[in-house]
Amino acid sequence: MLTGIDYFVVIAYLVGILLLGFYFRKFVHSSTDFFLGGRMLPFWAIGMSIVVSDIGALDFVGIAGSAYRHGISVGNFDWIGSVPAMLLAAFIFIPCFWKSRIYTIPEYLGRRYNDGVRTIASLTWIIFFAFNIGIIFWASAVLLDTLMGWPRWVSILATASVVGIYTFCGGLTAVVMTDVVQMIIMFVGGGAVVFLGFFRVGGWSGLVEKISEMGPAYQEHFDLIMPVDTQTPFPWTGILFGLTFVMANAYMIGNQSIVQRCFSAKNEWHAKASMIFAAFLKMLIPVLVLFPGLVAIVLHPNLEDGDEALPTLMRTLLPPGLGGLMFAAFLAGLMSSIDSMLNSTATMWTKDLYERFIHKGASDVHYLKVGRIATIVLLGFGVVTSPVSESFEGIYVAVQTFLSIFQGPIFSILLLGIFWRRTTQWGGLAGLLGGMATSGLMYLFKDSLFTIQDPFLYVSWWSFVAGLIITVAVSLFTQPHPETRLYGLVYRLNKPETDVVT
Amino acid sequence: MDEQNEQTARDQERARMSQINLALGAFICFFGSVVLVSIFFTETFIGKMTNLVAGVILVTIGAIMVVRAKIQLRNS
Repeated sequence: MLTGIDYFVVIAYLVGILLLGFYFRKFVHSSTDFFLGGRMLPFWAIGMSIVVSDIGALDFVGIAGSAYRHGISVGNFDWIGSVPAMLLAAFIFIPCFWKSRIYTIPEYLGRRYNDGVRTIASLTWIIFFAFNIGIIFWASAVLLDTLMGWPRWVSILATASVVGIYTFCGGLTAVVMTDVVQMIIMFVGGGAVVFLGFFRVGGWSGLVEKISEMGPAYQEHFDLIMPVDTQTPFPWTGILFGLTFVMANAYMIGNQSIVQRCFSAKNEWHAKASMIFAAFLKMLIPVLVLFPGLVAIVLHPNLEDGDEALPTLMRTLLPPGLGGLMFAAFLAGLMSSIDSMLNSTATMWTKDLYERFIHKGASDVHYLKVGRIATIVLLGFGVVTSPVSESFEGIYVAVQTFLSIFQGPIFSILLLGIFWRRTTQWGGLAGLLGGMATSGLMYLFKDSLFTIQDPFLYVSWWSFVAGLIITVAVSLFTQPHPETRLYGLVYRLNKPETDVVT
Repeated sequence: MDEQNEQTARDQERARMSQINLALGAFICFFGSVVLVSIFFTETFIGKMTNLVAGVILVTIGAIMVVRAKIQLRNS
């Protein structure tokens, strides 16, 4: 599929990213430089980085495939399923986090509640990210094998080497700044596919007209909100309660790999603006990844698998050069997801576990070294465990299940911790553990509780509700922290300014 | 004295950011040039035009980043 010039584009991209990573090494002198980019990054770079980390190579193919099968309702994941949560994060949560000068979300939970909550939250995220890296490696390698015929181990080792080197050398600065390049390439490549696709089908009106004429199977393709009894996986109840109220907020507010970028902003204004800018860019993402799926319905109506929509369009529409650019965008999506997880996991390991339990009071250079070693160890773990995905068919589902077990409860204690100063340390701990236990029990009895096979959205919602109720109940019977300990940790509870003696 | 230190730190931060932008801009510019070169390997008119637009967008973004970074470096 790729021509000589396309291969040149892809190789130039990989080499360029590698060189940028080496170059950024000169900006890393301390652990703050490595984990938080020296707290000097501008909002536009952080905003782009947040978006590109969220959109992986699999999302490109998956969203276009869903649009091919079910229509534009899949866009809800990037619109109502992201934008309100990002604005909430920008105006309420990020200022609180930023003021408390933390490195990780578990660190905030530790200060607001206690060390037990911090350790549990940190461990669950580390385990999740460590296994997820391997899964993303393997799933992307399978995709590249199918699309390009690349041997799986070549894809895994090539991407792991590039990501590993630039993340190891440049830390979060390299992660964010390479994400900026990746974002620009994704938008230009994706924009070219949309432009050429619309050109072939006669623009938006031609697209709507042609799909509408294709019969009753395509009646719902332009409906953004689906009824409860829809045949698609996106009924409005699941979208509203599971996605908008819980999963999206938990992801945008409680996910270390997303929020860590905002901690690297040069000041509070930049931290807030980065999330708002990311929300704006996020609204454009469906245009790039969803419209190609609709265009493919008209141009290639008989595809056996909807996930072939985007690769088929790339093969048939893109000229030499842009084919390579779009392929580079695929790799960009893959690498940006991996680098975020690597850096976040290294941060949580070093700050939440190593610095507290293994080696207290060491020099900053020592922690910088630990962060770098953790990055390489995690990468190695991801590469080695990646083939497990193939031998254990349900591992992807297992990891998503694991995520839905703790995301709702963590969000519930974050929410109460920020908004209700009466929340106590024992309330938070009980809410976290109780919410996770509720999720576990729901999965144990899922056959009798739910009618669908993988009830992630519903489990997230109910575990969130359980976490809220348990936290409130236990807090009412236990002693809260003194108010002075909560300064800067609770919304609008700041240290009173002392009178200036004139 | 404190003000002076603060100013120095701010200048260093600005210089650091400019160096980063310079590197990024140069890379994006180079990448855009490769897309522009690929016009010569494209057969259809619409393909050539798409490569041209994509390449020009990348080169422009890269060039703006480079020029801005150079100005900021000179000023700091």
